[in-house]
Amino acid sequence: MSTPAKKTHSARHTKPTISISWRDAVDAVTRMRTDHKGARYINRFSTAVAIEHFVFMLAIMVLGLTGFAQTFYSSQLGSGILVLLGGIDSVRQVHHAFAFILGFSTVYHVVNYLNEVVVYRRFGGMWFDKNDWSLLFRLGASPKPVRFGRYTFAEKVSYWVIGACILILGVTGLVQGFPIWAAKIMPGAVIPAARLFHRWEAVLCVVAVLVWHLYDVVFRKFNLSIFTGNMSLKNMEEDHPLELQFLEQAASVIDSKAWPVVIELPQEEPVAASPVETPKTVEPVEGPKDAATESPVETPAKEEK
Amino acid sequence: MNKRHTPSWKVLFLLATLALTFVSVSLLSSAGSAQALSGIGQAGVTPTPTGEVPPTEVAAQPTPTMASPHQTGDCYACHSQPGMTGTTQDGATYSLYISEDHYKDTTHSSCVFCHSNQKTYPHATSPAQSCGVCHWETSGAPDPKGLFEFTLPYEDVRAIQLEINGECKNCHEEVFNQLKDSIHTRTMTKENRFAPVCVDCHTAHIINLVDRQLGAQLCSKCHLAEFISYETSVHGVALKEDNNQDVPICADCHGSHNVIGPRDSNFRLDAFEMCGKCHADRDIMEKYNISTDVLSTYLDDFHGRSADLFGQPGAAKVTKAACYDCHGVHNILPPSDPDSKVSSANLQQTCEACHTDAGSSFPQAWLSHKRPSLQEQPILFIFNILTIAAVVIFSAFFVLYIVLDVRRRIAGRISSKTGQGKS
Repeated sequence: MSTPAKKTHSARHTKPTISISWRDAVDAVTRMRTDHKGARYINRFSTAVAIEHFVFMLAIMVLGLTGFAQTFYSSQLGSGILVLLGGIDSVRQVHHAFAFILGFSTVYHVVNYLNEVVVYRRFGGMWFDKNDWSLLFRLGASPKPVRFGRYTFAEKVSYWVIGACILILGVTGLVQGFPIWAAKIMPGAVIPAARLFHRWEAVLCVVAVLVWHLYDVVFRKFNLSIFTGNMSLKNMEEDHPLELQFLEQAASVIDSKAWPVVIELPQEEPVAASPVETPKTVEPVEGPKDAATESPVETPAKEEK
Repeated sequence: MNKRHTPSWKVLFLLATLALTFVSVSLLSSAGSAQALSGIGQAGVTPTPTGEVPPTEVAAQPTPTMASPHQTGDCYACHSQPGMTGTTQDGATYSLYISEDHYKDTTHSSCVFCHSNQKTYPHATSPAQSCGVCHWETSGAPDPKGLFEFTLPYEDVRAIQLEINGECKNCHEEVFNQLKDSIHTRTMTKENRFAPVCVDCHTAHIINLVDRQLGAQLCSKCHLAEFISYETSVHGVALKEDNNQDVPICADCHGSHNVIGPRDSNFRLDAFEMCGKCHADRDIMEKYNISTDVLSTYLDDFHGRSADLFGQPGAAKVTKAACYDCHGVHNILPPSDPDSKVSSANLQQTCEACHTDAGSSFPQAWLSHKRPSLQEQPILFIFNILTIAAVVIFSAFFVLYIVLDVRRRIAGRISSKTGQGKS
C-alpha cells in the first residue's frame, strides 16, 4: 500500500518535487530485496494482500460457476455443476456462503483502505490519473509507451470494473435473498429489477475477469506477483517504472536526519510525455522499461516472457 | 358253429344298443338346446357362447321356466330372473339379476372372462343352492321362485367386487401396472378396502367413459367437495354450461390410472407441465385470448426455476410455489374475477400464504406472467436494455483494447527483430 508521496505543484512550470516520509523510506528499504542468487527483486504485495486476492479470486470463481449453473441449468456445464454439488439446494447454499465470504472480504477491503487514508494519509495507487487517459488516446496511434506507477491502466480497469460489479452484485443479491425486507423499504419492482441486474452484472464481471484481467496477467505477461508477493526488477522496470523509481529514491535517503525529505523529480513530466529520450535519472533502468509496453528498440527476449 | 354263432349275436346286440343310446342322447340334447334357444328367443336376446361347461349329467328333469345351463353355459338363462338376489354374510342383499340392456350392451363378450369363479355349473360358491334352482322338487320347496335367493359365501359385497376386479389384470396388464403407483392402490394396501378399483370407475358391465362430462362426475362419487369446487371454477363452468372439450377434467390433471396424490412431491414438481400442457399451447389458448407466456415467465422466475430444477437429480426439498398455489386448486378463476386468488385485491393475501410477513408492496415484485416491454413494464424494460448495453459496451472496450494491444506488441516485436538483424 505504499504510495508515491504527494507531489507538490507550486506552479505549473516549476519542477515537481516529491516528499518522502521516514515511513516511505523504511518501506522502500524493506521491500527492495535480493534473493540467494544475488538477483534483486521487489516485494510488491504483502501476505495480507495476497490472501485477500486469493479469497476474492476463489469466491468469484465459485460464485461464477454456481451462478452459471443456476442461470443456464439446462446446459451441459450447468447441469454438471448441479449434479456435482448435489442439486440446486446445495448449489444455492454454496452460492450464498461464498457471496457472504466475498461480501465480508469487500467490507474488510474498504475498512482497510479507510484506515490507510485516515491514519496514514495514503490514498493508494488505484485512482485514475492523467497518465492513464493519455494511454487511451495513444492506444494504437503511437508507439510511445506510458510509464506507470504502482498500478498500470489495465490493473486499474480490472479493479474498478470488478469492484463495481461486486458492489452491484452484492446489493442485488441481498435484495433477492431477502425479498421481504427489500419490499418493506423499497417498491416491490426492485426485486425483478435486481434479478435482471444481478444476471447481467455477473456476466460483465465474468467477462472482465476472463477477458480483461486474464489477458493482462496471464497472456500479456505471466505475472504471479499477487501470489508470491514478489516481482523481479526487470518486470518492475517494464510495468511499474515510476514505483521502482520512487522506491529507489526513498531508499536512497534512508540515512537522512530530517523528515520528510523533499527532493526534486526532474524527469517526471517529460517521461509521461516522451519516454524515448533517456532522462538523467538516478536509476539505470530507463531503457528496458519501454520494452514492456511497446517500444520497438528493446530486446525481444524480454517480451517473450 | 355254435362257437362262431354266439359271438356274432353278441356283437350285433352291442352295436344295436350303442346306436340306440347315441340316437337317444343326440335327440335329447338337441331337444334341450332347442328349448334353451326358444327361451332366450322369447326375451329377444341372441345367446352368446360362453365358457365351457362340462356336461356332467344328461338332463332328465324338466326345468320349470328355463333351459338347462348345464349344456349351454348360458348365464342369462338364470340371471334374467328379476328377483334373483344374493345375501352376503353381513346381511346385505345384492341383486344377481342382469337387465336385458345391461346384458346386451356389455363391453366384453363373455361373462366368465371376469366371473371366472362361476365358470362351472353348479357354481362353486353355492353348489347346493345352484342345484335347487332347477332340481327344486328334491329340495322340497313349493315354488322355484323362492329359490332365487342365495346365500353367498362372501363377507360383503365389496369382497365380491374385489375378487372380480382381480380378473381385469388377465387382459389389461398394462393398465394394471400403471395402477401400482396410484394413490388409490396405495390406499388399498393400507387396508382401506373401499379405495377405488377398476369396477368402481368403469362400472361392472357397461364400460364407456368417452363422455368428458360423465368422466368429471365419476370422481365426485368419493371426492364430492372437490367436485363442487371444480364445478364453480372457470374450467368446471365451461364444461358444464358449454360442454367445452378443451377444459381439463379431473383425470387430465390427476391422471386416470396412475393417479398420484396432490401431496406427492412429483405432483408438485410436474405441476407446471400439467398446466402448461394446455396453457403453453398456442392453438388452444388463442381461442380464449390467454397468453402462452405464462409457462416461460414462470420458469424464468424464482419459483418456476426452482420447480424445474428440483426435478433434476439430487434435489429433494420442494417448497416453492407451483401454479395451483397461487391460482387455486379446483376453484381456479380468471385473474379478472374479483374472487380469484390472483386478483389484484387478493394477491397480497395469496403471497402471504407462504411469505407470511409480506407487505403491501411485495406483490409488486410479481410481473403477472408478463415479459417486460415498453407497454407493460417500461421502466424495467429500459433498465434491462441499459444493463445489457453496459455489458456490451464494456466487453467491446475490453476486446478492442486487447486487439490493439496485441497488434502493437506484434508490430513492436517485428520491428525490434528487424532492428536486431540490422545491428
